[in-house]
Amino acid sequence: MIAVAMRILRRRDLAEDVVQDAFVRIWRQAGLYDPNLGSPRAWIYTIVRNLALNLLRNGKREDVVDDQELTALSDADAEGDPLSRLADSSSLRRCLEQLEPQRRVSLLLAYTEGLTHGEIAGRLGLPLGTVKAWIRRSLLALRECMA
Amino acid sequence: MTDQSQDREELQALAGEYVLGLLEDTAAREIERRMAEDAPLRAAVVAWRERFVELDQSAQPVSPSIDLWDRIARDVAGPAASPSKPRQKLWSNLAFWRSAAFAGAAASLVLAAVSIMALQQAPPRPVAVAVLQGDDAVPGAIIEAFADGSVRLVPLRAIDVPPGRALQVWTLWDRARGPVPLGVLARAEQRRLAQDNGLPRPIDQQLYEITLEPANGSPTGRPTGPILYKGLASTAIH
Repeated sequence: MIAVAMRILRRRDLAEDVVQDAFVRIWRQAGLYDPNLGSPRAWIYTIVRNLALNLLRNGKREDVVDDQELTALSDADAEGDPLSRLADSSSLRRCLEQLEPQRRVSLLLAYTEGLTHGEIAGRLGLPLGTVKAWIRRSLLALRECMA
Repeated sequence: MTDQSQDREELQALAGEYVLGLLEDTAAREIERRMAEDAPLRAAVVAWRERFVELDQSAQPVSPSIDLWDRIARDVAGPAASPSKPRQKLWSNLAFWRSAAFAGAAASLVLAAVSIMALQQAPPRPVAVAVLQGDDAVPGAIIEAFADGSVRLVPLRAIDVPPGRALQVWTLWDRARGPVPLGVLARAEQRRLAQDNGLPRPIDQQLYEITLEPANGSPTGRPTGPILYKGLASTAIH
């Protein structure tokens, strides 16, 4: 859980704050957990991801980028491609690998690092409209492939 | 392509973008509001979460800071966490835990929190606190002492422990009995000690100290090495 928050926030102290907050929510809101809303594991990770994204986007991005960022960045680099960490038998992995590399990277940057359309476009040096269209088409292709 | 299948694709793409975290705040809140009554949208979001959750599970694990459990335990054991009916229903739902077990670290954390709750209804509150100082009179560690005689050691400074040696924590409340060992640590770290030793409730001015001992602790049951830090407890106001 810390790792998931840290990929988004890139700072361990903030990631731990998020996990702490997530735990309290999970503990207090377990009664609100509804099996119609998916598996418990997805529910738990969703809470962590949403808290991390909220923290990142509520004007905190500047705070996140400070002198600790360099170490955090090298940690993130050390982890390597999130795709390579998926099991060989994973259909998510198989289907992501079928996408063109830049489209695959767009999806992964959004999910694992919490980047926005605009940030992905900036990172890849592509027009915003292109990135938006790619992601939509990649999502549909991914869904079909994993069906 | 028919209108219907276009609508379906639109819904899928929107749900996918939502789960990726790509929607603007207002659009995301709108999705969450619609999910309550829009079953196809809810199903699409759930399916996307399940497709992507492997990316969360496979993240390179990061070990938590030493005090994170304490912070979480303190929070979940707080008064606002008094059990509610629906929660009990979930906690007693075996399927929830079977399934939660696959959440790996997440589930073990929840289980840890649950065990803590089961063990102690309220967060432990120290009845006495001692600030331990070295010869230089600089605080080196804090001892929080609990009603059952157990303590929590909170080091404030790194302590150099040579190879083959260990730190041992002691307390003294009765000169006739002499120092009583509370626990041995390989290095300075936050730790609960002497939890089931049946020691008496700490008293004001009770002595606590840390000595350097052989790796398995003092062989004599009495401090043999140099005293690194010592201090007297003061009882806490409740």
